Amino acid sequence: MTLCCFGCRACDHKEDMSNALPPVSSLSGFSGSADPQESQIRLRRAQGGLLTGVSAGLARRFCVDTSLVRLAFVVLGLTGVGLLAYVAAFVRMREVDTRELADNWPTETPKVVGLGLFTTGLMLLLHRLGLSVLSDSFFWPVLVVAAGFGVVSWQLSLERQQRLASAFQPDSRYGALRIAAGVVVVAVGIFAALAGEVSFSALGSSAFALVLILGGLAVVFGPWASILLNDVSNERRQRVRADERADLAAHLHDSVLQTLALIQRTDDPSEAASLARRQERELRSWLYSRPESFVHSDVDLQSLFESAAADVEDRHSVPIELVVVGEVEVDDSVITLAKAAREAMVNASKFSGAPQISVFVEGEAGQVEVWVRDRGVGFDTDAIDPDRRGIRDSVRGRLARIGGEATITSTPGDGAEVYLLLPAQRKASP
Amino acid sequence: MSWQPRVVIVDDHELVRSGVKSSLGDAVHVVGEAGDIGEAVAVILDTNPDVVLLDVHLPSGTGGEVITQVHAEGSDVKFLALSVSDAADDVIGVVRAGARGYVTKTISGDDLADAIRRVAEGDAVFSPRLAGFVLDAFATNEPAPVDVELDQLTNREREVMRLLARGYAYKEVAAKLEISVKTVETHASSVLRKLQLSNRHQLTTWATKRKLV
Repeated sequence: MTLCCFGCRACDHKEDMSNALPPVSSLSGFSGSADPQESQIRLRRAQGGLLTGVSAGLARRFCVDTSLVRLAFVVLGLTGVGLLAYVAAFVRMREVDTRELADNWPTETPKVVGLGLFTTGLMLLLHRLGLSVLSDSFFWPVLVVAAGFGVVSWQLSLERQQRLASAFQPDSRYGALRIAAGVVVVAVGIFAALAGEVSFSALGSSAFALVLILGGLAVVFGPWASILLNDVSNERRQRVRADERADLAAHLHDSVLQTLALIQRTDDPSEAASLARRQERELRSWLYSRPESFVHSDVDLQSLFESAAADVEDRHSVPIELVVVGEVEVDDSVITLAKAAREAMVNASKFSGAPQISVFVEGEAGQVEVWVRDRGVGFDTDAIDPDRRGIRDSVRGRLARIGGEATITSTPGDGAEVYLLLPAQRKASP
Repeated sequence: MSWQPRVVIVDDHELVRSGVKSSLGDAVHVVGEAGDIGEAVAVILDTNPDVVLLDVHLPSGTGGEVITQVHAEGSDVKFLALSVSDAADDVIGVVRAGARGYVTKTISGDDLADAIRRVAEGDAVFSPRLAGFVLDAFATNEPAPVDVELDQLTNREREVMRLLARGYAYKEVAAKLEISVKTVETHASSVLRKLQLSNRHQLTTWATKRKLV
């Protein structure tokens, strides 16, 4: 007993959580110990069970599926033993467990419908085979009750639109399966019963009558069901739309509104411009669905240089006009090239004094060319201090290591241009 | 400036219109403004300006529709697209409709005035980005087109486009290639014509796909 209770804890986990709130009503007439272990051992009927909660209570106690217990009662009930057992269990389980059932009644519906149908079919079969313990005077009323039970459950489930929808969703396809199985069993049972009562020739017309009845039911309930299903899908669509709007609002709030607030607060025009520029870029990439933050694996030439240019722009507040043409596979060499180009952009931003920097990237047949151009003060290329690490290491050195080359042209007073070439045939990545 | 081109500004935001107007100063003479397609067509046909500054996105449609409708009326007014969008299908779409150039709203007032004058004189105006799109659209590694002459750029045109994409002004392109500015303008115009007339690659489809890259 105790062992089983420990075993039950895993499946009972969720219920233990809800048990944290003292179940007020269950305490009335229950003076047992507060020890949770103790309460586990006690057999209690479950509140919200199908009939009296006996099956659900037993199922919870012994950690099995409620439907199995119900099925067992049904099968045994047909021999009469089950009915006695059920009554005995009901008497024994006087206390009511108010903890919420994990498999609550409405969500259980497909199972219950299936159970009702299965019972009906089973009874018909047994009756046909002459195995039923119930006399005829009992048999038909019980049959009607069982069948009615299934139908009522079905309708209840229809009233609960979402559950209806969920009954047809993949995760509860077993529910649908159960119903289908039940229907088959009933059909077989009915035919078996009819086959005994009437001749085979009449069977055809019976089948016809059955089809008519089913057709009539479909006509009566079809529109209703379809309206309900429609409602469900409409509701879902509206929810999606509302979610989208919420997303949009959240994005605009986080980005545009915040930036506007920052711009209002800043006194530095260059900072305001840089904020505006960054926001523009971000909003643009969002609107035109270029992923704003990309995973490394699907970086393309465009986004690689975009992020480099954006970074420099943010740090140095000089707008960079970037144009990328063509497409090459981005490997380590190309990333190194982008880093060198970034350094060239930084230099132009810091030293040229130009109001804008143009960057043109062209990738074709594995070869990548980059031009970084400014119309700033320019400098004498022969007079570059050999100690200028930026040019020597970051640009020329990097390019040399990946088998590319860097050319810098500049005339004092007329800006500068850095040309970087990464040929298609290049050394293995450093 | 001795000669002031007569300009109509079409943009659905009044703030943008007045901003553009003030940044142009007295480099141009603004003869009309419009905020939507119908209004724009009426104003343009009424005032017959030298150049129309046209926003790509208008309420109830695109700038391209304005161009189509005005040209359908027999007018040969020149259009310069001015937009905040630099998405490829917007750019290509409006240029295909007949715009003589495309600049983004981040352009400086002086550059814009210069671009307007250039368009008024019959030239094409390429922003670096538009030049980039052209290079992309006419990439060499595509299968041979049907109309070879129209659907390919000459080497010289390609060179000009690359320099424009690198941010060179026309006169800088001319100096670099050691040709006259007039020749550069001729190349640019013929590229624009190819862009507008070419069937190659189903350009607009290409542009839309490109956007998603």
